[in-house]
Amino acid sequence: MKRIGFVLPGLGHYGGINVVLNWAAILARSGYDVDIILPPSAGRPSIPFLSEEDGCRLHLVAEPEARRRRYHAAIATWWGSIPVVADLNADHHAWFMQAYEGQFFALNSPAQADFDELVASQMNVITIAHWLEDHILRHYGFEPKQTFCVPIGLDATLWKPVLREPLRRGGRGLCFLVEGPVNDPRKHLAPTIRMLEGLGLPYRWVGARVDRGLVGPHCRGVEEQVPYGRMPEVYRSADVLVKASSSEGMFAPPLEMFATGGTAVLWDVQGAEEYVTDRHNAYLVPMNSWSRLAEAVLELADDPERVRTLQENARATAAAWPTWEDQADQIRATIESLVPFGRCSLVRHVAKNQFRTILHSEPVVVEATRTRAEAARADYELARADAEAARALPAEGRLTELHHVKEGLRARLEAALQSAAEARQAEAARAAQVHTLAVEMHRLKASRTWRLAHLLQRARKRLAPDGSRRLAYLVWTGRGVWRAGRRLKPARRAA
Amino acid sequence: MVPGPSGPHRFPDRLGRLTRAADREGGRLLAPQDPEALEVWEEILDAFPDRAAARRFRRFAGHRVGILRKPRLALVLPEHFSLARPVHRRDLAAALEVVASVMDQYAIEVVSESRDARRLFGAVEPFSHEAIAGCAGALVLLSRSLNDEVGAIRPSRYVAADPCAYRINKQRLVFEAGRAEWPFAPADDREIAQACCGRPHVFLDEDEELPAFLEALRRLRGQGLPLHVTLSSRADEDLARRVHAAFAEDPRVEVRDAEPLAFEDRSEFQVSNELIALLTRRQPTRPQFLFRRGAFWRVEAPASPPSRSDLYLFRGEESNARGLLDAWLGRHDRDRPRPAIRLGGVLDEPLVSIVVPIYDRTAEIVRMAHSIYEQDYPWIEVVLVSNGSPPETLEAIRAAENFLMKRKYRVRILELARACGSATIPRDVGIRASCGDMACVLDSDDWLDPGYFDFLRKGPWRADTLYYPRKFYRDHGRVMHEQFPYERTLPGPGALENADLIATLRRIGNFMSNSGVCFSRALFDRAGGIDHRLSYGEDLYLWWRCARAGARAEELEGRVNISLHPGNNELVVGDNSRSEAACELARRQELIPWQ
Repeated sequence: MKRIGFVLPGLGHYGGINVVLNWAAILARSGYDVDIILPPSAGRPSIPFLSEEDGCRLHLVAEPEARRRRYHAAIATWWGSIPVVADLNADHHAWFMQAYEGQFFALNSPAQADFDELVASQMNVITIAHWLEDHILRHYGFEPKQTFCVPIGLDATLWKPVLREPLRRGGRGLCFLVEGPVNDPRKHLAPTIRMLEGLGLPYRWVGARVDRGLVGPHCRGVEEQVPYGRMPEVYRSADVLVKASSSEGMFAPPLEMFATGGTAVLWDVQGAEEYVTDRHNAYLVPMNSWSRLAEAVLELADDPERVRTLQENARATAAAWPTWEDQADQIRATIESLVPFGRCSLVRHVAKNQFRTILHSEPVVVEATRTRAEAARADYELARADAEAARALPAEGRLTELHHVKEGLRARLEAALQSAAEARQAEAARAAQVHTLAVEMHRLKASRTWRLAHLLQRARKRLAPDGSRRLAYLVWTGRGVWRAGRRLKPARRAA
Repeated sequence: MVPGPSGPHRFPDRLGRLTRAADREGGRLLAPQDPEALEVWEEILDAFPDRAAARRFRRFAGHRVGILRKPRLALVLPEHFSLARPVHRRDLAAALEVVASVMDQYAIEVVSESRDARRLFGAVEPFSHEAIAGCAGALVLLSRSLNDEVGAIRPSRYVAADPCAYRINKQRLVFEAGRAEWPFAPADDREIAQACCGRPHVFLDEDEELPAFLEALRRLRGQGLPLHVTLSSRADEDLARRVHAAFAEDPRVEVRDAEPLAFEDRSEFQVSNELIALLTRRQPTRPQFLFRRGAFWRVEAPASPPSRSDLYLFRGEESNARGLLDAWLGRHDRDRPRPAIRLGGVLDEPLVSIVVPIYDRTAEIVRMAHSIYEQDYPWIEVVLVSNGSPPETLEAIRAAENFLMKRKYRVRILELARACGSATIPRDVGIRASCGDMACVLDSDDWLDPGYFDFLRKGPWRADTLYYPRKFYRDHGRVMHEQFPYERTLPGPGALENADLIATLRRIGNFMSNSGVCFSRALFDRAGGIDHRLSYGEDLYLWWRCARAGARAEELEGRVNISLHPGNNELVVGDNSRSEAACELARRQELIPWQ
């Protein structure tokens, strides 16, 4: 029986986890042996979203245990799990990409570099939206990749059209729905709620985390951490979903709203075009434009006939959307079509990230060395001044002058010694960090990944000596020496 | 949803219910397994100037991908559509290029009585009122009367390849609205004979009314007017044969093919059956006549001029799906009075579209993208318009797109297949394609200082104001005069009310320059956009017309860094040497009807 491993960071109540677990359940039902690989710290949580029967088919496995197994396919479910996948014994390696994860990091964070490095690896990429597939080929296709696109399925047993009181002019007012956690800046929940309050339109809010202090008099209800099975009921209580999200992969809430017979007003975020057609089944307004969003919301609030047309088309869109059962063939076909790329490229990119982390510790060491050298130089100059004072004539003025020089030098020595002590402390801290890294390096060296990297490096040196890289290394070293010299120059001048 | 055979996908089509449902919904667009049809398809797709459009079309036409139940758009081919006619194939390629942009959102339904259409397409609906009524809109080929007929049922557009493609690089697609209001006055033969003293220049395009037009030209010839006939760029041998046959053995009629320099020789066309040929005139006082609906019409400034988007698309605009659909399906709501919604705080901050025309730059694009990335202001859209750029520039644009997406900006790339000579057209196409409340024009080799858009957070912004920045010229190797103020912040004349702005533009010329100027989209539309006839000074002419439309100007605290390097020939403040054409147009502003 073929074994498939999905590497997950945990089993929280998130949409992305739901998609992965549905894949796992379909593969398990199809006769694959499916492992959900979790970090050791995750313990043995219960499996959300799935029925008990489907949950029993999956095996929760910790990473160390997974390293002892052999897989037909090892699948990373976010970029951070690619290094784990690279270290698993598997015939096929894949990355299950549900969103452009580069958008999730803080601006200018080092994680961006790590992400770009790992994503560049040669591997299979399974996406859930066509734009993601295009994005990977367009921006990260410089190493060969095999991409697949399998859109998510809709749980037809859960998401069904529900009865709402019909909308008509002069009838009941439209109720809007806001969905999402308040702490996710990409979803812009607080401004959306402020907008609806400002426009004086009734709304409800459902999210994994909410802040009841945000809502005003027009709010008809706030629900927090609603179980997935009860979500259709919440969606039923509103007519139009309002979503001002600026980063998505292939968002399900509008589709789920469509399935219950509602419609939506959305920012034109990536992924919306997968099933939303502007003014056919929903309103798509330019992303990052609050004025257009407010206009669209007001337009719908004033025109119940239009909302009804949108809702009819939206229901038809959801009815034609495949269920998970419909997607089962494509999921199986995807797993059987994975290309055995090997791990060389994965290992190379994982190692680059590791090496970069280690090399970043160097500047502190250089700083400590520089401070020590400065202290030694000040000490030397003080000794010279002492000697000169001893040789000097006992003229009072000259003695006083030398005394001042000596005092000045002593102060400099003390300052230098103090900064040397601080540098030593920093160095000790850094040494501890380096030790930790060394331990990690040792672990890495003990792993198959390292051995393979080592073999690769030897093979590359022998088979394809790369002059340009050597030159780059020399330039880099020279630049380091030049910088160190520049740092020393002011101290020498001061001395 | 089901991957195409030409892509990297190798696994078989999705089975079961979905495939059957897809087949029920209209099946595949392309005719299956007909080698001759496939050959024609290859030829048509190879004729796409935009390779990305060809890829999109292949992907969506081969199989049904994306949403299963899409709204439909009709592609209407007249009964006389023939694959044997090159002009028909060329027009079909143009229509499919337009269609390729919207195929991810809309299903295409071919409606035709033509036999050749059945050979080419997998499923063809016979023409009927119901077939058109079931679609959201329609594209009509080769027949304006059919376009009018279809337009009575659903929003429709007559689409054709550019008849004036020989004119330098300004390529357009005919994209005429069906049942459009006709703003021109009728003219008779005598009026034409009087107006076209000498030898009238006639532009002749393939058209269903061609026999009537040839007959009308014969009548003119009968009045003693020698004719100088230029054939359209769409013309094929069949058209040329018909025209030559019509004027056979008449030495006073000269028939020639369209030549690349015809635009430059300033022999403007006076009589034509194609409106685009009459549009780019430089002498607006010269009378011009259009043959349409069986009669001549005098083309002069009407009281309510037709919108440019009702007539044609510039190359690149066909790839902007949103704008295309807005124009096509009559969703243009720019003129609609919009409710003044003031909600306070971030909700009043406008979406700014930074529009960057790009040609042959690499490192500069990275620098420019970095400066946009460093802005604190979150409500930004970036429109990068590649002006027929080489591959390395396209690579830099892709890198910039990926980089800016991390900032959660919506980045849109418009690729003009061929370079337009100057940045005029790409900039105009980019601004028109933008969605923002405010546009900020930026050159690809210039960059913004951090906090450039802080003025939008400090207080309410005004839709009638041109916000111009302080400038900082960077010496990147361009040879300038000795006292050139490099590396110095150059302030402008400060805030100027409308009357002062007009006076200042007259007195010192283009003090705002181009890079970094921000203005509301409403003001841009009111002023009529950028004039495509100008290669230089188009910005000065735009500011002039904005001023005429009631604009004022305000200086920003933000600074734009303008790089002057050997490959850059932009005009600096105070240099009005290449703005004569703009000044000339501005002087005749009252006389210029519309463009």
